[in-house]
Amino acid sequence: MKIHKTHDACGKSCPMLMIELNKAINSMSAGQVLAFICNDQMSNMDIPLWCKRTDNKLLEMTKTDGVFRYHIIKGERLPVTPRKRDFSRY
Amino acid sequence: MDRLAIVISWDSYDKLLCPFVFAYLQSLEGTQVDILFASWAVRTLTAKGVAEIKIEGHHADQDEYVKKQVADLGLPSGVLDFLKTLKNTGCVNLYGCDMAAKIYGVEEEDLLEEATSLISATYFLHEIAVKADHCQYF
Repeated sequence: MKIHKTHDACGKSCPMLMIELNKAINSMSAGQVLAFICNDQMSNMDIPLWCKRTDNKLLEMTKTDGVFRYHIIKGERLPVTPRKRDFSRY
Repeated sequence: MDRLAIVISWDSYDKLLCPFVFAYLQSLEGTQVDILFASWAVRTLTAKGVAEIKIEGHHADQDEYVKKQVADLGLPSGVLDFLKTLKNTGCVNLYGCDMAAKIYGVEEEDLLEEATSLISATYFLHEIAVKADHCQYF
């Protein structure tokens, strides 16, 4: 399996952990694989759930000496952009 | 979650952190986030108001400590920086409540360039809050 990007977030916890994860995956193209490394214990709940709701696929999750390594393949989901509001009736 | 609506009523530094973090987290997942700054919080959308923001009341003496902790976490420690960060996600609208603007002395021309606009409470409730997947009040 080819890893297109590795991001080390050791020492980070919520919210910066998830902010960095989102930024890392948002900088990649669909189909590319991110290796995300961290040592936050909450990540083993947060990251699999994040993958499900953002349509990114968790390929593999390992833990060695307290360090988690997640291999995530970026899905096709596009970001939402704010819709323009119609204030003409005001 | 496709749409998140947030109402903020206080312009105390520590009371802004939680809604800002929620907005930041969700915007990075592509959620459209609409924030209404109501009551005193409308002043947060002005240059004068944002410069005066600090922790109020019981924890007022912890202002510098908390800001340092926030910076150490890697988040924008200044409120204006955080507003810019939210705006730059492309997914966050920052609205001032029109009624609060009248009560607390904010004019349209006072708004920061990061602010989207003033809107009425009615518009926010019926066109934004009720149509959001989730609405939070701070």
